[in-house]
Amino acid sequence: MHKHTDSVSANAQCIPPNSKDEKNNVLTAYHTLIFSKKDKDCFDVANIERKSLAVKYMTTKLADSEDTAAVLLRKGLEDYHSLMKDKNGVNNYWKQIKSQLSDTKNDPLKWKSELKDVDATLNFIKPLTCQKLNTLPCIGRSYSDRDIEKLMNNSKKKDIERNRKICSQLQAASSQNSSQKRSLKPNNTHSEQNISTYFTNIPRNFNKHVSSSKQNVPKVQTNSQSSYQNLDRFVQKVPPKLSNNNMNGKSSYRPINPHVLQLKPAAPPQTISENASTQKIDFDSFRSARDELYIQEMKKNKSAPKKTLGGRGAVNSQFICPFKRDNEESTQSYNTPQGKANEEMEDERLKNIDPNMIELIKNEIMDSGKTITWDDIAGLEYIKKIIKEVVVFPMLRPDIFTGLRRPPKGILLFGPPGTGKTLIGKCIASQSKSTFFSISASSLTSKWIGDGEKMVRALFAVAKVHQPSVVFIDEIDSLLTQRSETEHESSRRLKTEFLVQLDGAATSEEDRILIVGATNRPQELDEAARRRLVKRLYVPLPELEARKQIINNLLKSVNHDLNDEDIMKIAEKSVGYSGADMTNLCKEASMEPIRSISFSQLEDIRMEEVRHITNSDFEQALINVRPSVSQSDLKIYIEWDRIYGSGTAQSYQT
Amino acid sequence: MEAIASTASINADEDLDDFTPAKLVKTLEKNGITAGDIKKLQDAGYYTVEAVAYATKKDLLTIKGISEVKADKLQQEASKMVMMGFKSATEVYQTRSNIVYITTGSKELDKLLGGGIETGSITEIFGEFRSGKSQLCHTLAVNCQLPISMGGAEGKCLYIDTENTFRPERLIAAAEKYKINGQSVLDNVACARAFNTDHQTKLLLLASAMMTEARYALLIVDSATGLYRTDYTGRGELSARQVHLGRFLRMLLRLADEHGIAVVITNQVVAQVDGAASMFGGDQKKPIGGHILAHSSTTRLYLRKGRGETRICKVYDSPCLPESEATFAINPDGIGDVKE
Repeated sequence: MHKHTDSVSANAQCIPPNSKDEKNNVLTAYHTLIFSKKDKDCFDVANIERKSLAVKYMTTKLADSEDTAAVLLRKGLEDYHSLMKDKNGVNNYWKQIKSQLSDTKNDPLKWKSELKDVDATLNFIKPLTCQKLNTLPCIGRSYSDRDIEKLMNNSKKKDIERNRKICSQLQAASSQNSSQKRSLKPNNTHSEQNISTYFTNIPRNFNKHVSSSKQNVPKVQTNSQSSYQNLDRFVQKVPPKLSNNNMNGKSSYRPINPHVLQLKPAAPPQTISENASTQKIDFDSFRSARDELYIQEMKKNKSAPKKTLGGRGAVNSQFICPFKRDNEESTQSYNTPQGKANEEMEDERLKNIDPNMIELIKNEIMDSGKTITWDDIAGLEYIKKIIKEVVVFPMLRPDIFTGLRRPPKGILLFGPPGTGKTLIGKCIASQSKSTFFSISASSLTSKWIGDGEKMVRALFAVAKVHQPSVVFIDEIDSLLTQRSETEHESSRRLKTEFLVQLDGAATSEEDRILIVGATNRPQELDEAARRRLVKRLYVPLPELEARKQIINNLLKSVNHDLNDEDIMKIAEKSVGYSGADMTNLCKEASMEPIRSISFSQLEDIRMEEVRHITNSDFEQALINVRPSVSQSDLKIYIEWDRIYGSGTAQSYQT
Repeated sequence: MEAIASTASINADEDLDDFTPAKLVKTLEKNGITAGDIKKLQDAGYYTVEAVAYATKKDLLTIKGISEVKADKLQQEASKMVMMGFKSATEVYQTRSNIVYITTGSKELDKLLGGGIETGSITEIFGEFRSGKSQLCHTLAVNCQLPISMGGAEGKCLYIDTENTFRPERLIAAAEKYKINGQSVLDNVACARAFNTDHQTKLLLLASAMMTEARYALLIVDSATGLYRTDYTGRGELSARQVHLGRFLRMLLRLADEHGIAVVITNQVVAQVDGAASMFGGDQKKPIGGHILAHSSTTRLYLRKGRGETRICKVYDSPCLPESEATFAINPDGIGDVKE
């Protein structure tokens, strides 16, 4: 501004028409200014251009109208602007810097690298406000001298001061260094601060390196040669890329310099990894109690270390609830001996049921200790055939017995007492190879209200899990009597639950559960239960052939003098005897020989000496043992069978 | 409406890191703190926003590369995320009623302590040798892993051992009481030996880092004062010792606050050989650590030996518990009730 006014004042009052000489003067001055541009560097050119612009403006303002002056000024400023933006001209400060540094032999490459610093570059450009604000009368002029000097100092500071310590202490007192130092002296204190901030910006691990280099300082001062070696070692820690750079370096302090400069971008990853490693080391001071135990045991026993799998029990691992893992392990150990899938299914279906009840029901599963074959059941051929159809064959060929041929879900065996209904149940248990539940009222009832129903439910759930299964309910009339108004509420609920489980909404066609009920009083059964026990089989009194067979079966174990005719006779005489009666008869007959032995002889008589059972013994027994079933009783069964049964009674009667 | 929104956001925050109630310092990154600064904070041991918010400006300035302006900014941002103002007593009451107590294993002792060892505060246990301090610590290290329904806190345990009395076998034995796998119990306990008072303090920095990575429920320092007794001797170093101890306890309190963990420290006793106490046959033992320790610990328990396996615990100082006694037993499977 100052200069500007100077030039203006110099040319002041030169325009008025009365003084044409003045105008000419101005023009000559302008010309001299313009022509003096030759052989000047770009900054001088810019200077001259600006001055001439000012002169031009003032002249036109005085000589002409202000409008033209403004137009001219604008045009002039545009030119000036383009001149300033010229990259090879004013905008490139290298020449200026070069002129300042002409006495040093610095490698220009270094300067290039410094320009990477964004802040410095920005500082550089800021003062050039005239670039943006054309209309302002060139304030930017001020940049040309002092600002560039400042910039120069700044950039020099940044670059040189960083190395200053090392350089100065190296006492590589080459002329260029000393000159730089001289120029920087006033800034010394400031530069130290700069350095410290710079170094604190570098993560702390790098700091250590620096401090170590600082510790080397006294040595460095005494022996420059060794210091160089030190520094070389220092440099060698830098990745090989950088050391290559170093090789290219020509200036004396370059080996130090580039690595300081270039480490800046390179440092962070290095330090991060180092930090991570230090952290890892730090974590080692905490170890998990398991490791501690292991170490302590090692100390005690000094035994060879047991190998463990890696990746477990690290101190910084997540919290694992000890209970959870415990449960997993226990279930695993529970699963392994048995079929896993089966157990899982069981868990799924039994999950809503009280485990105690499941345990109770499981206790009812009968292991058939004594095997009973179909031949052990005398007679009852029709019933045996039906039961084989329903129970045994589906076991052998489950693929055939599907759909319409599906076996019935329930069988009812009814008939007078002692005719082998229970024996049939036992036979099913041993022959069917299915899970056999022997259920009576006692195993399903409970003193707690509601528990009976739950037991029924548990029974069917367990049966479902262990299918194919057979549930044999002896004396089923005790459980499933006719529902009436007088009965207790709980027994009512037990019955309904039973009916629901037998054939209700929740049961599926695929379940292979067979209910076998046996009763003496079929007429008392609830009608809904009757419906569900599809096959209602009458177990009649044994026929002649059956009775013969029974006698033969029973007499196998004792000595007797009976021939087939005698047995036939006995069988004919024992019409109306049930199976149980027949057994009773044979027992009675077998006792006769024992009774004939006197008490004194009984003590020392041998087994072989007991006399054989004879026909007369049976005749005596037939007098003592009378049939337990009356004909009138039988009529009821036959009547019931006619109405509801599967027609067995009719087949026997004919 | 706003209140609902704010609670929702709090819930969302809680879902992010559920193993510690504290907010990780990384969350500050959203509020315009650079990753570099966060790294610096973590290097200096500030792993949570709470730690930054609770720290004094002076402390923050000692971190390398944190200028005064930056420290101001950090504190400003941190205090935005951490509730540091006044609260109504109702709120405090509600939060306190939800506090988890870690069972000691003995019903009597739990009753005395109002449920067990309180989380979020410092409990000091002092007494003679063989008064059951370390045994109680071992049992607590197992109990803190139990589900909350069983009196635990469902978290890992940090064990800083200065007297070399840490025995993992005792943990396994205590685990057997609950029929749980001893190995997984051991995995959940991180232990470290402290070799001097500086190391002891440095371990806490590590501890705060570990607490941001996994769920911890209990920090045990057994014993907190043992090393101070020998590292600082004589009247001359008394002030330095107390300042150092105070700083250590302050860090413990900070950890308890930030992560809601229970801090259990044990303390040694000193005999009063002269003075009135010995003359009148009174209790001659006094906890060491002076007033600094006395003021720092929230609950102070005094253990002394009873008959046989029994030990007697007395509440020496507590903000809410009455001054009374309970008897417990040291069983093979840790702390338990006295068997009649």
